[in-house]
Amino acid sequence: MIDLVLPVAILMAGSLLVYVVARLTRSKAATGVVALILLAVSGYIMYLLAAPKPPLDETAEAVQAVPLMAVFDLNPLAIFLAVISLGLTAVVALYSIGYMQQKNIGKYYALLLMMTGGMVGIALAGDLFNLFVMFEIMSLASFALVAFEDNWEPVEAGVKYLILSAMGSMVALLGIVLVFTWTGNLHLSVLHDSHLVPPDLALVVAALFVAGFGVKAAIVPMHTWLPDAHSAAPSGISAMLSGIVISAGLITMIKAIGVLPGTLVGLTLPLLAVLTMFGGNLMAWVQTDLKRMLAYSSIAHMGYILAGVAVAFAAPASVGFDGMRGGLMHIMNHAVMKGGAFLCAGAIIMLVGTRDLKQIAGIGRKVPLLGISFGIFVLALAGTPPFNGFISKLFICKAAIGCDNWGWALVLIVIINSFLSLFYYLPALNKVLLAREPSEQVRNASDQLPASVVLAIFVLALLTLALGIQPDMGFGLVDGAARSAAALIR
Amino acid sequence: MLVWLVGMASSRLMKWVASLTALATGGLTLKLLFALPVEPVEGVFWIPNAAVKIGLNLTGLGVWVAVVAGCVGAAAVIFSLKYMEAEEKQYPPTRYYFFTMLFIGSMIGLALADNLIIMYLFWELIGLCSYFLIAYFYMDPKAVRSGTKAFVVTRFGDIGFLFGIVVLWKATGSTNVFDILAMANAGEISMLMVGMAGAGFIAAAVGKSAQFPLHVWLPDAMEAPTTISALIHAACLVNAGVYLLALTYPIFMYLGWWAPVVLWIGAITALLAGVLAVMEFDIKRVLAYSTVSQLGFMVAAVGAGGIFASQFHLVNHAVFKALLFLCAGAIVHAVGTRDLRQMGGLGAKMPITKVCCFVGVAALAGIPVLNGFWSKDLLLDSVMMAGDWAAVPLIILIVSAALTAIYSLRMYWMVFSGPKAYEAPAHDGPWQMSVPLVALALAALLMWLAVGFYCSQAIAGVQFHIVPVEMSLADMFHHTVTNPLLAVSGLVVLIWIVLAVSWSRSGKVLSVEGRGVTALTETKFGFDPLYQGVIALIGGFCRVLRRLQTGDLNYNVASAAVGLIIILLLLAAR
Repeated sequence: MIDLVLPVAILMAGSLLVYVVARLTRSKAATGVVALILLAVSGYIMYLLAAPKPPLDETAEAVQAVPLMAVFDLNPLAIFLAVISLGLTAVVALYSIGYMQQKNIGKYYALLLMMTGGMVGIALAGDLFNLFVMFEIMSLASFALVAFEDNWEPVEAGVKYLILSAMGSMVALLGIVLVFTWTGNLHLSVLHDSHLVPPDLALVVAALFVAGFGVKAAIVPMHTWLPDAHSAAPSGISAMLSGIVISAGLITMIKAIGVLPGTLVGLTLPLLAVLTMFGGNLMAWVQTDLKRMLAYSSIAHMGYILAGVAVAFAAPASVGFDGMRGGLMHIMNHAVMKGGAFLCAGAIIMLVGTRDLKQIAGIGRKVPLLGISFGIFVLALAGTPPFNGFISKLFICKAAIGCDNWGWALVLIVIINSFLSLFYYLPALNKVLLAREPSEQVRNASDQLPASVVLAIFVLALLTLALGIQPDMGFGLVDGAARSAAALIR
Repeated sequence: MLVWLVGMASSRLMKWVASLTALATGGLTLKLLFALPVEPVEGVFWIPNAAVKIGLNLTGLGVWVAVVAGCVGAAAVIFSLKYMEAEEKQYPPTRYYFFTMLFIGSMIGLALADNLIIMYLFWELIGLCSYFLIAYFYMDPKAVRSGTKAFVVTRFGDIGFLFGIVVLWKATGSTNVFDILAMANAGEISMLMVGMAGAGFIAAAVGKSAQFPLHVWLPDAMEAPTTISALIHAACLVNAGVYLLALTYPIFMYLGWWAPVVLWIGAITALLAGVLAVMEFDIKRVLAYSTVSQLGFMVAAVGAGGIFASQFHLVNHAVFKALLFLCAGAIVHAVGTRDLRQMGGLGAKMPITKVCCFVGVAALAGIPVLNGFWSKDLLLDSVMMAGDWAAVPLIILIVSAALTAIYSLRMYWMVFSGPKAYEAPAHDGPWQMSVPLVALALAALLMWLAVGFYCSQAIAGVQFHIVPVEMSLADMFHHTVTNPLLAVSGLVVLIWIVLAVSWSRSGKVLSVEGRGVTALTETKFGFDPLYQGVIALIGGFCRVLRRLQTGDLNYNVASAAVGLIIILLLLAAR
């Protein structure tokens, strides 16, 4: 079992190593490459661990149930989260070689690896204590990363994020404490199988978990930190935060609620999903700042994901698998397309020096590759076929319609929201690609992007298209994860 | 078989590659037509895990639509070679040909797909292509706005389409059109489900085919290059909605309200657009309204159950409307304005265009014996046969047919005869522009002779539609001549004679002007401001909502706390 710690340990130790390398070599490229190698090693170990058993195997590694002992557990859901977070981190690490201009690049990569280590830890954690610790490691690293630049805006955003997250963590911790006091056990699968938590208490604990981890998952009305943090962070980090960290928050929530099977049925989660979708889309409508707009759209997409997950919770027996599949698939697709969109936004900022939508007019004409990729990401986010966002929304809808009483209403709301989102995506696209004439800033801007930035964006654009045209590529990963997640909550 | 792949793969190469591929695609679709009936093709899995299969729909309905897309598409691409030359310095031709080919390819894909999800995929792709093509002249903010509008409005209809697909998927466990048709035919789908899906599909078709009340986007889409307008109106895009309704008609046939709603929507659209066309002065917008109106006829025919009349009219309309648009392109190319009032007396200078345009206009008006006459007659006949409930729509449609006669002659008159307003030299286009014109004009003149062929090929492979007995040319002739509706065509001819005589006497052409009229045409009967109002309202609401995001940490924490309370309450209330 101890070998399961390795992927996490490598990333944690690696974050120190990266820092040392950065101090010694003072080279961005070397640091970035070392980070990439570490990510690859961690991923390879994950692969080795998963390999003996086929990834679709539902039986998680059997572990001894010892209270207060660190338990790690490798199941398809863990592989799913680990693959996506490692993959996106690798792309972002590549991107950052060209993108980050600061001197203290060592800290940046160290924190990035630590954050990813936290996420892989969340994926592998088999008990509530470790789940919480890993969640906190991820959060701590992300606070520092949001406030990475020495300006007032990122620092303010970082502090805001820190305080709200801390509050969320406390609420969630209270839930964990309640579970432990009552049962004397923190083991996820033992608690899941034994139904030790009495129903009334389970209700309270479930609420605490949803609200607590929901802060990180940016569920409306716990989302208020997100627009500031995601727009102030360096763009690579925005891509990480929007692409996977908030989803990791949601997966933490799913895993934690797994100890209270059968509690969270009913309309709670669907209602939150509806609120989140509308909140994100309507607020994004009036934004004039590119990254802020994308940040709000992340909230909306969290709503779609939550809609799928909510369906799984509300009717675990019939559509649990379908709902989870839609939700998790959207997590994967969202990581690719929103990650890509933020990386594009970063590249635009690099060239033009502003995030104001008005002032970036025509940048897509000047740098066509950037414009086309941005177009692909934005259209994918708006759920336009043949890009990947459409496929996962389709499967969320397909799952939701399976809920007998209110499923059709949820489907309609998802589709309407998808339509509403056009009202901010298209103007942004028009500005970037079809502007009448380039703005002053764009005319003066250079059109040279570092190779690593271009490569990172290109990889994600290609994935966005590939996962849309050949969705089967993703199903292998998603199906197993959805099966184990659905089993978790039943 | 996979014709559409050819269209897609050609993508953005040099122009001649594009035009050769377009020709090849057109030829292949034609070949497909002669190959009918074909044994059904076993589909291949696209998403095995969800059992989504891709197969081909090689029934007459789909293949005819594909043929139209392929052939008209080829004509338009060749016409573009010369037509778009002047713009190439300013706008990249690569993008133009890339999206045009993708457009044609997607439409063929839509017509040949047998799976609702694949259909939706292509359905959105043509929307996406139209967005980029209408906004092709991006220097003109109006073009960008129109492109965005076209995309957004059609996407609004697509809410219904996607919803309908998902509902049918749940109801039948399949996304294959023919499986669903079979189940619906056997009465295995609950009426509630069918009803929800039916409403959704109507919304989809209304959006895509620019029917009332979502007709607002098509006239604005005239900002596109004229060749693209021809494609949008004749070959791709707008036909998709009618085709969808025709294809799925047997699913919804048993719903009491579905067919009348479709019929009424079609009739109202035909009338409204006809009225607007009479008042319009922009040559391309006149044609746009006429398309909306003709689509109204087709939709109405579907509602009345006249699937074949509707699809026959679709094919005929594609031919003469493409012809008219390419004529308009040649005229605009020569004159440099789209305002009818600044034209006139062009007949002597552009003889080929004049003759071709006359054929097109006559076919549009339904003058015997051009193709438009036959199909419009069949179409009205199908509405008449539908029963008493279709009486009022029938009258509306006949009035619309009369309006069609008026606006078509009016347009022709103002361009070619009329008072000589246009003095500068003008001439017919070069051969790249003339050849497609003449070819299409010949088709409009003669293709009704092939009705027997059309009919036999159109019913090939169709299992669930009410299939008329195979109709030969002689049948159609006999049927039409002995039909009271022949009077409608007589009326049309009469209108033409009266108008021609009075206009040539007075030297003036009917022109309805005035502030109120302008306002009506500008706003398309007030629907534009209505939608803008709704959007502004939502925007205002968003701005109010935005105040909630104060950036003040206290509020943020409070809101999270409220979230916790809400969740607790929700759970407690359960």
